[in-house]
Amino acid sequence: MDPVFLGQLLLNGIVIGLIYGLIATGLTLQFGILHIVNFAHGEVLMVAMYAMAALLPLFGGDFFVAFAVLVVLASAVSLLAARGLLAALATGGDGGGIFEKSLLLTLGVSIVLVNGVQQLFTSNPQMATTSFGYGAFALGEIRLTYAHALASVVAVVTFGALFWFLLRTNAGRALRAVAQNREAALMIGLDPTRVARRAVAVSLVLSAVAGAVLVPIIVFQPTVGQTLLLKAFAVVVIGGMGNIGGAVAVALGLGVLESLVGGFADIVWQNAVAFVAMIAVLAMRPQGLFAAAIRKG
Amino acid sequence: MPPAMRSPKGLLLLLLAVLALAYPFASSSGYHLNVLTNALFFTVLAMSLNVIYGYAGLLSFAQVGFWGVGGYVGALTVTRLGGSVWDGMLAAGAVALLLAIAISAVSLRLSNHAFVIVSIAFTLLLQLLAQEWIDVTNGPMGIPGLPAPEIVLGPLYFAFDDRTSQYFLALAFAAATLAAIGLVLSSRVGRTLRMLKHDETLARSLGVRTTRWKVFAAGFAAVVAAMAGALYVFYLSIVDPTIFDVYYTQLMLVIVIVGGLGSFWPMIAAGFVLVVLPEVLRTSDEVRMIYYGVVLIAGVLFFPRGFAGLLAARRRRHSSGGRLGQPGSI
Repeated sequence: MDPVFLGQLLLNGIVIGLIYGLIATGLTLQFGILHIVNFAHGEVLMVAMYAMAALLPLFGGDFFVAFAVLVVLASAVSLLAARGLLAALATGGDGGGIFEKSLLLTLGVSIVLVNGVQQLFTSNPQMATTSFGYGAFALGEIRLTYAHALASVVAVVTFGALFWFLLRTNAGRALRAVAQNREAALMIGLDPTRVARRAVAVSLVLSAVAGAVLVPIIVFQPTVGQTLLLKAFAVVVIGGMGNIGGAVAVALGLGVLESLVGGFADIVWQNAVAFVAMIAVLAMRPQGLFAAAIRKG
Repeated sequence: MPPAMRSPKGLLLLLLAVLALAYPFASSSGYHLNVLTNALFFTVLAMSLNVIYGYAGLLSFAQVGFWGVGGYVGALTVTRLGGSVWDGMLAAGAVALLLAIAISAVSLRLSNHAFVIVSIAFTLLLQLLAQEWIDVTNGPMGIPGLPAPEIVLGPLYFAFDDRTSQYFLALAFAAATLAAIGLVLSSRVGRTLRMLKHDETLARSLGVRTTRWKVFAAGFAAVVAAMAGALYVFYLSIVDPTIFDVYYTQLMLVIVIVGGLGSFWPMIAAGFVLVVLPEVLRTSDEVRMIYYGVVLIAGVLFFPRGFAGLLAARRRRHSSGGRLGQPGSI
């Protein structure tokens, strides 16, 4: 086997895995705190990609400035969206549980976003050029484009910040407290709604960041979020629903595995890997690879 | 007087049947017949979702997956294996049943939540396979030129190759399927499924094997969706990856939620209204999707029990002596 080819596959897999991780941590955070699933999580990423593609020319293709502006915008919009989503989930009451309601509502939002963007920008594939273009680092014979390297750095820094937030700040501790035991958190004076709002906002920003770093890497269209969502769901289930560390680890593993399958087997199976792995894990260890205890649904 | 005519409901049914049978002779518009034929297929599809979500309380996004699997298995049975359209429908039902048992039995080991997530992933995966597994599915080009269903009984031969005969075929299929579902749901089985939705713990304490019944509901719903999908692609005469489009999921959900989860006749009525109405409004596909999306959001937020819920509330008001609502205020 050619070591350069293998190394290239591994490296590509790690980059893709890191991006899966950004998407999946948001999903699993929402599930862990609120027991909701966001069908529109992929569309958040898609909208962020279109926003990034619109911002880049404004700043002469400077990725970093556009990225900073996007993160500020995404944070503001995410806070509002989180507030809206939680308010919507609290209305009515009798239409099944909050889980079903979240899925149906976000499915509606997802469809409106996909078709709205399609109406505005057509479904033609889009791409954006950045100031660093298509240059690449050469690690021996293995190539790592600047865009891939940047995506990896951003993802690693974001994970670092996320874990620092969850483990070292009071807001993050509050989040974990609510995820562990909502009633107990309420008893010690935490406001679960506020905590939940923060969790949803953070997870939406994570998805937007994933979209932003993907812009210079892939050609995209309004349905880009849906394929990525399939991978993210698989990651969430395999890692243990609600388990953030598990999601990051599984995302990396899945990225590498997909890359290897894509390199050595028929390309068709690349997309099936995630699903097959999810079914296998559900059959053998349904609580997820990284779950400490079985969560009873 | 035949028993069907003794109750107002029976009379209404009889009237509907006569209308449905007489319509093609009254109208010569192929377009109208096409809309009605679609309404028949989509109502059956929505009813399959109603079985698993409305009755058994398991939200499933896999129904469109089974509908598409049915389409592809049906088409491949005819084009690759040389079977008839009816063989294709049977094969579609069988494959869907196996897949449904596999994904539901495995995911229900964890929780209902896991089932929902796996059902989403299942559909997304199938859509990718339909696009990329070109050796089998012919990719985005689809499998065109599917033959019309035909009946060969000794010397008798009939092909469903025009709009009118296809409408009658769809009508017969929809009537038979809906009647079968209606019978199952109004029996002990239907009551067991309802119990799963309302109180699973109670059901288990009464000795109901809840997981088995959920798997049963998933399998039953999958077979219905797959057979409808198989017949539908022969109606279209082509199957391509758009059969897995989220459009169908959304349409099904809107019909089931607007009609009322776990209702029978109101859901069927919603199926017809929601398929025919956008045709009357003549909107582009994207705009129609946006409308449906908004209806879905509004339905979930403000109207979670649908039309059937409104009917039930009205009946309650009437039976409580009109104290809660003035007579004639509706």
